[in-house]
Amino acid sequence: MTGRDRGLPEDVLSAYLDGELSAHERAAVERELAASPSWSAILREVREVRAAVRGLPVPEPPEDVFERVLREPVGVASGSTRRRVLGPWRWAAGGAAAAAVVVAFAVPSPHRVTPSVPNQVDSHVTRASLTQDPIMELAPVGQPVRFGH
Amino acid sequence: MIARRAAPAACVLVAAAAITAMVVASVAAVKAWAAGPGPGGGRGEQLVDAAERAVREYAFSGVVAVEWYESGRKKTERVPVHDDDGMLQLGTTTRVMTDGERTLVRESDGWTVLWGGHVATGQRPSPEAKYDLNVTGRVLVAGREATVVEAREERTGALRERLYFDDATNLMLRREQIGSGGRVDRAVGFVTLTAPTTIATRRAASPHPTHVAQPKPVTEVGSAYRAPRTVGRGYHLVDAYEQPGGGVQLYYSDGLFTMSVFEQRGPLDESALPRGGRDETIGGRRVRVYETPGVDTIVWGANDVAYSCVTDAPRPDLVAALDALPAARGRGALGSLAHFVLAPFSWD
Repeated sequence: MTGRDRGLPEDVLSAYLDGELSAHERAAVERELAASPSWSAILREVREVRAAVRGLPVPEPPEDVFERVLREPVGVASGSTRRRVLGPWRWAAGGAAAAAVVVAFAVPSPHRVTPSVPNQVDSHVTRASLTQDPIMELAPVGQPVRFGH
Repeated sequence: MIARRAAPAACVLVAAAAITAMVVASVAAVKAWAAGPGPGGGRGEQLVDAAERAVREYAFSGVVAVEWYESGRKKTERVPVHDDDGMLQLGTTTRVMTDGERTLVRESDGWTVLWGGHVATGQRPSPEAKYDLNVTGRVLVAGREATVVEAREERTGALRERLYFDDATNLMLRREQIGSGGRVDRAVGFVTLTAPTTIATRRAASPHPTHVAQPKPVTEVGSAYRAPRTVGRGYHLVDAYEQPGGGVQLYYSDGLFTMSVFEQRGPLDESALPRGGRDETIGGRRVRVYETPGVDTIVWGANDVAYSCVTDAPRPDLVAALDALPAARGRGALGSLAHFVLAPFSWD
């Protein structure tokens, strides 16, 4: 499978990150990633976009929003006077809220990562076995690394 | 007055320097004599080098016992090892296979290439820069005559490792890491070994891989990462790699022990780490420690980077190495303000 089989690399890599690919497709993507710097770059971009989207805010209404709506004297003649008095404050509050949303968009929460400890152990001993004694380095991973035993 | 007082001080300094130079020269001469003649260091280092060559020269079969401690409890695992004309296979159902060029590991859905022959590697530093390697005797290991070499840290005299080399072939038969109080903290050694035979024609590792996960060597790491040239007590950066899943691997060695520091950009998600580790504070930082056969893995997060250190280094070396790497810092006033403002907008 290549990007041409399933569509654009972005779509394929998105499916890859979502775990939607079969083992065969996943292997093909990993081969492509190992061979192609552009695919690796796209993978990074897809991850970054996801992290940015994940950081988007979910606005919560104030706790007393319903009480305030019910109290609002809509259509009352004196309301125009109140609106004139509170007008500048409303604009300021609106501006602050808009600024908060902009800040939240501009500073996305970074994507959390979890190191794959078994894979890192395999990577380390494999590298060590090339310039240290291979039997002594590789024997400890001759059985799969297990945790919590 | 000042000039008259300075003159004797200068004389004392010169004399002290001369004496120091003589002592250093004498120590170096004694060490050179004790190490013995020949290229590549003394007898101990020559045996270490010869053992690495012997693996590529002999075919053999045997069982290796791996011993380690987990939360203070001793564990042992037996691993069949078979060298079929240069193709080394390890594990009951052959989990790892290498021909010296390509290394593959068996996973649930097939073989994964962890290393390909075209990836260049840096040289192992000489262990004699840090350790005194001395032949201390001969014993039987797996029924075979073996020479014992002890590695003592030059600076402190502490015994760090005991190595056993087959007299007939130079194969390393056993490796013991010595901890505080002289306890064998970790050991890997043959318990049975058939008579090794010389390899006539080398075989290549044959499985057809379903995955490729080999690292890519790099000469620079991204600005988010730190790559100290040395860490701890004499661990030199040998190689740096970009990992297939993202992040970098920095490979360090002091000649006997090794250490890989993995760095991955993003805050550490501790909740998703595998079970079985324990939380510890090492060098003032909170870390998760996993004790597995052969190596320990230490995981922590700092400055929006997740760090892991995979190593067989003795604990004092590990503690010193972590000092060279970033630790989590407090947010500070501005960071706290930013967190206060932005926290309601975050899902994390």
